[in-house]
Amino acid sequence: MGVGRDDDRAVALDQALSAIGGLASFIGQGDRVILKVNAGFSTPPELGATTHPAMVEALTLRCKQVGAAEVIVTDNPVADTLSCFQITGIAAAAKKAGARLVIPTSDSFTPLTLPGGQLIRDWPVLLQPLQGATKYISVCPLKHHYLAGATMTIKNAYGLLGGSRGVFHQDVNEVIAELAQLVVPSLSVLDATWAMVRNGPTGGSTADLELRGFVAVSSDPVAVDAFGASLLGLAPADLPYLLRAAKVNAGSADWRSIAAGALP
Amino acid sequence: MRLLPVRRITQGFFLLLFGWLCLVSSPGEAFFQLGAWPVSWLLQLDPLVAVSAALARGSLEPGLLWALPVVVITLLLGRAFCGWICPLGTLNQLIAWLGFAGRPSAAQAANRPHRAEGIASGVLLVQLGAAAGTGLAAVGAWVGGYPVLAVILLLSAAAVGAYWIRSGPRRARIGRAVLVALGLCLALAALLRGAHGLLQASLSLGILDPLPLLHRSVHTVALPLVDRGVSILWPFPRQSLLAPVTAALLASILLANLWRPRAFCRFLCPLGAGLGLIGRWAPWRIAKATPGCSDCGACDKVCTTAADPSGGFRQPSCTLCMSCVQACPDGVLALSTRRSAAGEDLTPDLSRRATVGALAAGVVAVPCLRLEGALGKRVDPKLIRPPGSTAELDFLARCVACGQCMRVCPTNVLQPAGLLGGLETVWTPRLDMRIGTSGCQPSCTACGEVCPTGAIRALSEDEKLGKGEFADDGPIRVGTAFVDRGRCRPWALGRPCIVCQEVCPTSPKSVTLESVVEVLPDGSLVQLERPRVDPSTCNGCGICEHACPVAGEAAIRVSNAGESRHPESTLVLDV
Repeated sequence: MGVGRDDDRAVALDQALSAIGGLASFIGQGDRVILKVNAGFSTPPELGATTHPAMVEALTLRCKQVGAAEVIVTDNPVADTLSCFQITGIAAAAKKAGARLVIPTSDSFTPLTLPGGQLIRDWPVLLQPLQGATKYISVCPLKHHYLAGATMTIKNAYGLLGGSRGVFHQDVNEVIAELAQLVVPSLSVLDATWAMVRNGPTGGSTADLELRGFVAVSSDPVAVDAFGASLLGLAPADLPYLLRAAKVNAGSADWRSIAAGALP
Repeated sequence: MRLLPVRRITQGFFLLLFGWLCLVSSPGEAFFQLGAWPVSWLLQLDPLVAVSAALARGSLEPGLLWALPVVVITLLLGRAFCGWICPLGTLNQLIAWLGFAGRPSAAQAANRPHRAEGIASGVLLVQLGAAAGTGLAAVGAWVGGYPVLAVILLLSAAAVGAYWIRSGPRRARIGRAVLVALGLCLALAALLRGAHGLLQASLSLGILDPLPLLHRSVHTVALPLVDRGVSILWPFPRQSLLAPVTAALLASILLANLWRPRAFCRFLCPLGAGLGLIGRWAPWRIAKATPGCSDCGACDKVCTTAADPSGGFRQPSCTLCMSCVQACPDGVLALSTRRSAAGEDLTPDLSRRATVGALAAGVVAVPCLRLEGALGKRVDPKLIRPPGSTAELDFLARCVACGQCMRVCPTNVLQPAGLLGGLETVWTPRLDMRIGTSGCQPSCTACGEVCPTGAIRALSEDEKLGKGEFADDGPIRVGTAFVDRGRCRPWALGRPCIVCQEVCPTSPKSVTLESVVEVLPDGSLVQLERPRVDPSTCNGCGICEHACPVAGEAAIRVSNAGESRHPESTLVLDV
């Protein structure tokens, strides 16, 4: 796991990437890369509820630099789809950096069953933009979440679910643990420069944000999320879904043993 | 110069422009989006929208001054707007042309003047009467303060009017009949001076005004229907309440052209009737020089508005379409400042009794509609108006039900209100949180930007959210969310949830949670977070109601209680 430390997201991202040998060790020539952002709410980027456009832009450019054939930005937001991509600045950033934005339509979802899953059974999943992709990057901000404790790169996959997915809140830890098995990201990128420390996951005021100044990158999403949790003052034990994800071999919550770079 | 091709090109241009403006009414700044186009311009051209709004409010939104050029054109050229600009007129003409192609004698019969054409004037007068209520009451109240003046006014209006009506030439009677009707209404208003609020203005009777009607039909039926097939405008299928009713009205109007060409324009259109009324003294008109006319009837076969060009020319029906001029083999028809040698028939198509009756019916209709008492304290809690809407009585005196707000709304939450506020509210907008993609988005102010009449004020994002210089005023509230404890999972079913709290976009959150440990019937313990709403911060955006996982009626629902536009409905004393 690479950690970068800077108030500027792009700088911190580059530090984190170089701490793990550079992006080229994960993305190669001709790769078609999915950038799964969090575009969940139609709030402006400065409120920190969604993946920051600077992050979208930087990651797209880095991917293209190491030879990616195409970068596809997508999400199935909580709020109004078009407004979300527009107001968060993600659509503009994707366009500027040369990524393809895929805005899901009702045809983009296919029912899927996670083998051994209790909740994700015959449930509509955002598959259409993923067709033909070779790499998958989960990128999102670090945020407080009332029910789950914190929402980070693993829960970011919630945005792949369609249907009335709110029903899964009855067992939010189970569904997040299942999401960790549903998708195995090539890379998980946690933007903890400005963390939403309260009123999550929507925020709504800059007063809900605090400066942490870190970006963490790893192919192990559990480690990245455990690191993020520590920045909110939470231990892995405070987040049952992290322990469950580790148990099903989605990764290791012991981030310290694999961390490199500008550690706290 | 041959004007027929010019007219056709002009019509085509305005029809395409109408279609284009409908297509680009999506929020955004790109060249194919709202920010780049005056999407309400065609509505602002409509003089009936402007006159109704001015009558009802005593003031005019600046944008509605666009109607002035149309009035000037009409004063100079008669109903050229109908023949050259109105997109509904163009559609009607196109369908009539298809329907009567190859059947010239059937067309000639269908184009004969019909006594039912007076209905259009009736529709106009009812609409204007309904719009004039508040103004009449105000003038009446003023006059009523001077009883002697009131009596003199009443007597002289009656006497002069009665004398004039009896003695004047028939064709001049309509103006006088209107005068008498106004005098009588005024006198009535004066007599009813003590009856506060009896006479009120409403634009709800203007539902046949062609431009709002066409916009509304395209926005809530045609575009959503077509886009379901192609998904270009919206990623998810749009919904429209009342779509079958809206569609049936438009379809009837369009199909009626197969019975009589431009049947709507002739028999129902209040705008056409009004333009015919003010355009009858136009200096330029179609005229026939009789010597040389072979009475072939070619002109009557193409005159779709039954202006009778071969006979006593009915100038108020003529839309200057130039078809007759083009069709005449003898070359005796022309646009000029002369009058037809065979004379003109300017007889009003409405009797004086019908004129007085229609105007009075309009004035009386509004208080009659409001006897239902569907407004005020008994208001339906689901009648949630868009953010920035003016207080309900003012709103009804402004909204022309053009559907622009519903078209532009990115989430589809704006829907026709149906009968929630009585017969008056049918096509007026309301928020239906369960429809669409996600309630009312916090930073979106699109509906107020496009409203042509100021029924929904244009808000800045700061004003809507109560930030910056509006911090002291707080956010604009459209209502308040209420938790239905009988349906809520943590409250009623012993299951965790918190979706409403999760999606609440205010900071601090308006949905708060209280932690409890409950003993379930099987004796097991469960920890639950139960939602509550803080009415001092909730602005009624409905994102919680939309997201609530309880199917059908949500377990948290917004009601219009506490809406900013009605301070008397506040739920919080210190706001």
